[in-house]
Amino acid sequence: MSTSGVLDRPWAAVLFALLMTAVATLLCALLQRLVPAANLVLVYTAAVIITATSTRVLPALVSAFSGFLSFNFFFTEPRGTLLMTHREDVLTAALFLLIASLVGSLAGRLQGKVSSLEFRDSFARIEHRLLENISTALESREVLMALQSAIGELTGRVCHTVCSGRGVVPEWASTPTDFPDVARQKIERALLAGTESSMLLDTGAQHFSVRLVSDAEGGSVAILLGGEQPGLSAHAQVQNNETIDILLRQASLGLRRIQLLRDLARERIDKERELLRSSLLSSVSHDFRTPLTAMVGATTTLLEMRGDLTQAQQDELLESVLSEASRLDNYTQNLLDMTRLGQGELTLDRSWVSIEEIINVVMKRVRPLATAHRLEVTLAPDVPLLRVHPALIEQAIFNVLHNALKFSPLGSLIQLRCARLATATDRPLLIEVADEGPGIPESERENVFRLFHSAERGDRRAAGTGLGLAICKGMIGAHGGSVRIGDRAEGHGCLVQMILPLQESGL
Amino acid sequence: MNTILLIDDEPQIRRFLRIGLTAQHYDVLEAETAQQGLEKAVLNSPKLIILDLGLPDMDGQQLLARLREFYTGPIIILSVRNREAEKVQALDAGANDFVVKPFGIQELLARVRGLLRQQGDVQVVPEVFDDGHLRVDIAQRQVSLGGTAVRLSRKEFDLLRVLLSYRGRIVTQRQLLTEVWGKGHLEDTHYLRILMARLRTRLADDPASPRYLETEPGVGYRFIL
Repeated sequence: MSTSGVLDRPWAAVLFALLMTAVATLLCALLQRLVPAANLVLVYTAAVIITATSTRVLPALVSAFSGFLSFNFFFTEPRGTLLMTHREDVLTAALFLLIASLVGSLAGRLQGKVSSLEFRDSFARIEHRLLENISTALESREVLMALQSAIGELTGRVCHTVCSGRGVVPEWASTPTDFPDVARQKIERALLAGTESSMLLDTGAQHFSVRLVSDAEGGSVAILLGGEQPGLSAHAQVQNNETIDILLRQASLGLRRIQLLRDLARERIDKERELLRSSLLSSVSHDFRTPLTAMVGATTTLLEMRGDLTQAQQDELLESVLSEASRLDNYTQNLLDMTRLGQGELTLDRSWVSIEEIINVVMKRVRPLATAHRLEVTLAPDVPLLRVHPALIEQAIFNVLHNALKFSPLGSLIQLRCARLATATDRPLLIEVADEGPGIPESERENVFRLFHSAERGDRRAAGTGLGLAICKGMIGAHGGSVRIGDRAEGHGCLVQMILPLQESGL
Repeated sequence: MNTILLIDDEPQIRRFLRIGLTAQHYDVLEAETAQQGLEKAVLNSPKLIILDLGLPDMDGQQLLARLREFYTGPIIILSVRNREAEKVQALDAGANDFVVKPFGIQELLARVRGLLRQQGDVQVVPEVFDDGHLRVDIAQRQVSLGGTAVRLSRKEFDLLRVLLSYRGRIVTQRQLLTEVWGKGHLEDTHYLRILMARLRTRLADDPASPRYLETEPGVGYRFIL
């Protein structure tokens, strides 16, 4: 125990025994006029019992024997010698020695039991806390920290913990800064080798004893205990080593559980990614084939029967090739963006741009597609410069407009509005697209941002890849903004709101 | 005037088909939903129907079945690659042929011409096929290649005869198995593969660039027109 007293050290305990005898002798000297000499042995017996209950068997025996000698020397005739003239004195002294030894050893053994029980109790508490911490740990580092504090409490020594799993770089609870690299590498090599061992490690400044435990799956955990606890009995040392091993194995189990959790999570991600890939593929095969079919059909018609076609028909076919090519281009762009978003590779290349510039580029792309719709753009005059990746914001707005075009009836009005949102404290930028299409029912509003939602529903009518809004959300989200489907104040239709936080330009 | 009904929800596809077919002097009717398609098929009795299986308002196979309740003319399916089961199902449900997207206009026109030539489902089996290289005498069961007689086993000849009788049109594996082996062997497609390989060897037809016997993967075979 870290709280073990000075009496745990053997020499101190013997000294204590002798001291008790001295105190008893002094007491006897005071009492000898009041009680018969033979009764003075009771005082010595009391000293033996006190020694025994405070220390262990050996000091108790020391106390018994020194008591016997003192009694003999000071209180039996002839005094001042170790000789005894009266037979009853001899008997008393002998009886005292016998009883004192017996009581001393009994009391000492009891004391041993008590301290061992106390040790067990405190160990159980430490172990319990460790298990509790391990069971809630989500990271191997947390397990290591718990182990480190448990063993630190148990031994009162400086310690470091480190673990490694299959193909995982060794991880320290806290990387010891005062270790030479050689020492650290030695431990890490031993961990990766994964053979259970004890060894000594000299870091130059300090000696560490190292215990290493491995599980069958190749995970290892090691503890480095700094220094020695001086004066601890060999028995206590062994007991400590055993308990340390127990704690190590508990930690090893905890680490294994975390490894399993990690594997499970990885598997789930792989599975989701696979699902994503296959739905992406099927959506691509449907949505890319339609424009391709129209393009191949139109060009072969032109190539093979140009002579039979009027000029107007030829123009119509050529226009169809062009518009289908731009449709394919949109799909391709979306697909690329999506894969980049999905792989987390999308890095923001921010620059200062005005919202007018962005809207201009978007409208240039949208106008050719919107010949059959009315477009109305409203820009508030007080929008500051934006610190954004322009291409991504363009694509996000384009996707929403493109969606509106796909879903709203010919001839209807589509409105694009940009203004600062007055209701929020930081007054972010609100970009709204309102159409007069069928709108999106309340229950569907969250789903439309999911990847391939459109394709999942087998919604071929919309000719959408089910990527558009998901990409929009991803891109606005990458800028710290959000996208939601709002309610139209007037009439029916859909209202998409993109909210983009603004940064102070310092201008 | 031959009227063709075009049922497809994609305006871009309808557009080039309309232009291409009109240029070939077909009269083109367009429908963008299954419902419209059914109505126009009933009202106008087209000579032929071109049907895209991916329609918004009704499953293509279902529409095919509804059409077949009253319509006896040829139906060409527009389908996609890697959907063999869909094609087989459509052919079994009464479609006469299919074109895989994307396709050239000539490929479609060839199918249209082939089907309109053999109006109805009545097969007029020619007594003799002769293209100057391959000569097949159905009645005499004699085959020659470049003037040299070719010996065919009974089954090999039957297979060739069936394919010839549907010249230019897809014949499903199911149909071939029924006609050559009988109804009990519908699952034995490997018989068909082995027999087809032997027939190709006898006719010196390269499966990679066939002159006579074309494979429609997963669906069946076609004797090239």
